[in-house]
Amino acid sequence: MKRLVQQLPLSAIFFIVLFGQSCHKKDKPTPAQGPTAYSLDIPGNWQKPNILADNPLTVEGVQLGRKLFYDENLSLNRTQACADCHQQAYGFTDAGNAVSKGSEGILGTRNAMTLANLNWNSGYFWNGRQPTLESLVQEPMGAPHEMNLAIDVAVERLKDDPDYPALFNKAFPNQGITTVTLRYAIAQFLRTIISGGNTKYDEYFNKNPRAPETYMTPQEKRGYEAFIDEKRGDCFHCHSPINPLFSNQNEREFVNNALDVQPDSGRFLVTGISNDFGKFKTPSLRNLAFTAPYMHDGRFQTLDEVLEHYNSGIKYSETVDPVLIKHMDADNNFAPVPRLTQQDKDDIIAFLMLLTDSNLVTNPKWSKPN
Amino acid sequence: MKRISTLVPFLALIFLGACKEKDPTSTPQARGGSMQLNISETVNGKSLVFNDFQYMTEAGDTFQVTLLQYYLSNFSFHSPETGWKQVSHYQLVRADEASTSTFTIKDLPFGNYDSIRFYMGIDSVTNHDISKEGNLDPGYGMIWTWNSGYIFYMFEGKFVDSLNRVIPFAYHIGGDDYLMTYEMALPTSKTLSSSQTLANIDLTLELDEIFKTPTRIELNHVAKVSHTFDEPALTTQLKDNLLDAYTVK
Repeated sequence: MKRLVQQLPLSAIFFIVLFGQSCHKKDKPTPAQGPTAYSLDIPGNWQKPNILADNPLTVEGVQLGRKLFYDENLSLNRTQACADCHQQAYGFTDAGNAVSKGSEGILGTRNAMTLANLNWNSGYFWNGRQPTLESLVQEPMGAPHEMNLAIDVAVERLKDDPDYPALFNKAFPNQGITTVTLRYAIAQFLRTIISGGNTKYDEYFNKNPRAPETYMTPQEKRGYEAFIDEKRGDCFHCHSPINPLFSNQNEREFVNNALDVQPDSGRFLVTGISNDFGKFKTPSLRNLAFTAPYMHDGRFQTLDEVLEHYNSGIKYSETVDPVLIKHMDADNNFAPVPRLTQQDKDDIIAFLMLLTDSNLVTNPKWSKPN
Repeated sequence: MKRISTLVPFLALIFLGACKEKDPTSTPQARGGSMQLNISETVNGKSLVFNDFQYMTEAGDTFQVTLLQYYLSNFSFHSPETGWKQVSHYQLVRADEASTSTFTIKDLPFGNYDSIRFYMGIDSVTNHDISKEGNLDPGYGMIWTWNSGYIFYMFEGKFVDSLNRVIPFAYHIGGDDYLMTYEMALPTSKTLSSSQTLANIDLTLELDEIFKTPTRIELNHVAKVSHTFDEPALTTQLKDNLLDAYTVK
């Protein structure tokens, strides 16, 4: 579940399918009634995503989810849709806002995360509190500082709608509109938002996974080298190049990245482990060109500010990541030890821009339906 | 779910097997017995507990453990009658996940076994071929970059310094030069006499050995992360200290 990289096991699955079928006699299965299966477009070297067994993607379910995602009737005062804080033009983030304003004008405390590639997350929201896409959907819908509509009230609204009952019946035969199918439909749509495989970085990586830098411009190459240099960028411990998303699904999935002397509670609220204080999700580095501002509270407007934080702004606390404390001077009250030149920062940003996929912000299949 | 890629080939075999007609004359050929390895970790002689400042280094630094994962591989078992028998097995032990600490080596030839050899780490050929699956899947994060080879030993924790400050530390050891090899006599020899036999070997890693001998490590004076590429001198000390970290039963 935690691994994105997978090659051989897929062939084993084909194996099973082939041989498994060869065992059967040629009696054909009864054609399945109901919705049409939807097949995800997954980049070649990415792991097959974990889809909930009882919520397989269907064309009808995805279409319904898309309509719901853009529907303002899912907020109490009918003014805000999911899409308002997750705008496609901004890589499904909130149009440059540090934190989002709810349907009734209340400001939240978190930066709206991108919705790209959620299939490969194992914990949702900045502190990973929700285990599945299917479970997360009702939280922003019901939160007073977001859409403020309890999900069972939403269900009643949809039942009274002229179009939705038929659409739900198509997508979820014999189930109709329930709190479950409402969540499942939106989750199905979210699962289709996949971005990767056709960026410049992917093109280079596919040519030579061992040395994608061979194909980069001199500046991009310098940036990549600084990115993986422990004495300069030192970015790779958390944003692992082994991970196709340049995030982390292992020991650095949630990290205290030294933002504050008194860190926000972060993942501690989920685990109750005091060592998780101040830890937040290591985000993907794909599509940063669209998703400013950065950090869980959107405090940095630009990537230059982000890099300057890691260069000269890191702050000690008891749960700060050891990879970052390495860049502090313990004999000088943990003052940061700057190590990046402006050239390094510019180079790293040039490298990060290789991970930009314009398809994410333009593909009409994720835009507002007619 | 993490081990789905190791499971799948087994499933494939099961399906393949299901296709074959049953041949009543064939009986399964017993090729050997099984050795189960049980891995555990101790600190200061007590079972490892995470996230708790209850341990002390030999130099007197109070510390806790926040993360421990490592590779064991290249197991060989010695029989006085037939010599060393090497088996191919790569075990990624993640100390916070009990299921990774017990595994079985199957089809060891029948006989008596009186010694064990193994690596902590990955042999150099495999270390430079990262197109692997199962426990060697790079997705487990035991690799720094696509060119670095595996991290053999990943140990992280926190210590309390002389000013009473809590300081996180991380020791990541990897690279061909830091492969750790062990050879130990079993206190009582294990006999595999039938395919039904399951002999047990208990291996215990004493974590605090990393701070002890031959080089006493004072965390107070380290206050840094150790990485193979960053601080080869320290990494060498840590590696040498770990060479007497195992006991066997």
